[in-house]
Amino acid sequence: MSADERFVMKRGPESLDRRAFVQLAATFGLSLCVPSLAAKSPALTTEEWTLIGDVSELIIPTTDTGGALAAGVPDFVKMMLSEWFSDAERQNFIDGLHEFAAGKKHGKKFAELTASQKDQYFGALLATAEGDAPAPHTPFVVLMKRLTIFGYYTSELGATTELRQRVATAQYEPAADVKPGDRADSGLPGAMYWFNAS
Amino acid sequence: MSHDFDAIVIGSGISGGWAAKELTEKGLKVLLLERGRSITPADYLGEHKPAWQFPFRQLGDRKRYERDYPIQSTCYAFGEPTEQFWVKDSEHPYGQDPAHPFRWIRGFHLGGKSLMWGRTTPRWGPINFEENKRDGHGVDWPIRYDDIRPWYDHVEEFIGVSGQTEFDSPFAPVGRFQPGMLMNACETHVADSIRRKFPDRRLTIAPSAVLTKPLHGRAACHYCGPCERGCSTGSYFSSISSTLPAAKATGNLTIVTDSVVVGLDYDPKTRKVAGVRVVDKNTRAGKRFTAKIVFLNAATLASTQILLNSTSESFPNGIGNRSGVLGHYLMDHPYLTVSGVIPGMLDKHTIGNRPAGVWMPRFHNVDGQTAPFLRGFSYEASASRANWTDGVSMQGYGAALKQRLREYGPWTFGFYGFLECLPYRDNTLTLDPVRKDQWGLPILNTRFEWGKNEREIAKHLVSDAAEMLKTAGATNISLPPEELPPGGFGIHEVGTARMGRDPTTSFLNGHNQSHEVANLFVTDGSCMPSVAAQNPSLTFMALTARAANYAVDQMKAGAI
Repeated sequence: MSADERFVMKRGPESLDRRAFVQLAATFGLSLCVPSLAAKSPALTTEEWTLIGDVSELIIPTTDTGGALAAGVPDFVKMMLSEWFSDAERQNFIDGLHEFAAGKKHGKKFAELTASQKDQYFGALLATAEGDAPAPHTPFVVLMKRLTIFGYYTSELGATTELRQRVATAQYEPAADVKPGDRADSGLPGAMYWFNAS
Repeated sequence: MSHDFDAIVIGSGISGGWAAKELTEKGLKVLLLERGRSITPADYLGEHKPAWQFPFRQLGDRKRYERDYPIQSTCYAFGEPTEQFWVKDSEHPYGQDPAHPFRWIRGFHLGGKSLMWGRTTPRWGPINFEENKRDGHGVDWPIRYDDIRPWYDHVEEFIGVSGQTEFDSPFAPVGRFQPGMLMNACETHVADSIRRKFPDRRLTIAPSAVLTKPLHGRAACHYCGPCERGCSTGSYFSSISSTLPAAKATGNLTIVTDSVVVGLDYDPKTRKVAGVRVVDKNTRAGKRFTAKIVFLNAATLASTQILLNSTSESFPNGIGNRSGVLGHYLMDHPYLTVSGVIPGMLDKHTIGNRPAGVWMPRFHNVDGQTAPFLRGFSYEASASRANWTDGVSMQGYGAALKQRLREYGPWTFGFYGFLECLPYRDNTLTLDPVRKDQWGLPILNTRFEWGKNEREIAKHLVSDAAEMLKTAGATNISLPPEELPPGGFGIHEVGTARMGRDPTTSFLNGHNQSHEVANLFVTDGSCMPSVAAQNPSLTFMALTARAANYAVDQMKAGAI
């Protein structure tokens, strides 16, 4: 299954940039205000939001650069749940979250696990989900992976510190050498990418 | 008889801007009517703006889009950074035949779709103007390549087209180009691999209306990438960056925005358009303007809607429409994507976001009818290295995943093929007999389907692309769905007020002049008797410049 199929909801044949000349949208980092969203906060407890933070940090951890928490991924998840997911998609996410939090398969609630147990628990569920054929409703662990990757690499930290962002280079270098330690361009998912939350 | 203006140009997009420029430069006092709002570079809200500064990280406000932009949001260039450039479908209804749908992509503002267009500007070749006659589909073009060639020169030199000059395809003659942009390492490899096996298939940088050298106060491209967000340095051609400033500089241009044209009045005594009726978009107040000549450049569907709605005793079916062809023969290009992963070249990447693609002009039916289908197809294409968006399809998580996404991914090469659609009488635009929009204009109904020849071409387009990808060593080749997409997605809609030699089978003559109404010219895509397998905009820019100069000559000679 291609990245597109897993990650995005295809918007018909035009979903790929047909002119495709803009592989990576670039940015200047102008400091513009982001309108605040009137958050219709989903009915999740503080513990559940903590779990979302923990899981996002498992997916993209702090290494020599900041991880998901430093990049504000839980806020992104909150925005997506309240503003972007459909009611059915939100319910599927929350049901999955509750099941995951209860930890029936582990015999203990997620919150009560040690750090390494949390890692093992999440890792095992993700491996199973990624090995399975796509389900009609995407499992919670896979949704969290999509949300975390998207939220992290579209954040300022992910796009400019973890990866590299080049803007308005004035020249185009068609065959630049990849040097040791180079970080890939963050680019941007063009307007044609739509997140698959179903 | 006194007139408000010498000329009225309806529409300010790619062709309307050209009409305004040419007519004002020839000394005419011109009124440019635009149904949408005014636009300046200050309206390029998304330019250079990073993902995290958009409330939805560029995913856009999905629920609002589903409500207000169900059609427009299917366009590849629509999104959070550009949504201000599209009409709300909820406010601008049109009809679709459910079994034969057509996607009408629109931008109502000064500059029209010239702000969001794709910028690929090949010429059409001599064959494209002869093929209707050769195979009998559609009416014969009333002009040949030599008639339009000097106007291609004129347009290219003014708008600035960058492109390669080594390969002169019969379907894309080399023009007056600025230096072309460069192909990247993967594109060069694919081009060389294909050429070794198929010497007649040449993959080159596409001619593109983006500057590589400064021109008329516009800067060379700075390679930021997504042109459709607007360009404050004016590096790609738009009406805002190029033609409208030139027209304004003459002192002969009056721009009136927020004015919806609802019809043209016909005077049977003079056999001319006597006036242009408009409704103020905001106040709904009606107004009428007069001029010696009228250039209709509202884009194919909207121009046809205006013509159909301009009825009189003389023309009960639309002004100048005694032939009955107005609203028929709608064409577009279906786009089909074939892509694959190209192994190797992992030591190379690109710096900068090149806003021009590579492309391959048509290579079938070059010397007569040799393929098992009529006409042919061409490809736009590009290669890039995969990035973090591949992360979700990778197994695993944690530090290992983070490290993998820090590195450049493999090269992916995509062909975006588009094929020539024949003109069919049943692909139509009509006015709804009952429903009207909020400005009193009858709603436009569409009916569109692809024919047998298009389905046959599509098979070859896909198999040829896959074969060429394999030749270049591609793996993971991905093919498009077998069913062709609905019409309209190509945004190359043309043909519903076509030119021709015979007034009984065409709407316009060889100078884009109505056969029956001497002071009426239509020079947007609606004038085209065929759509070729090349992007149409450069051609209707050249037709506009040619028609405008003809019209001025005729006025001077007292013929209009």
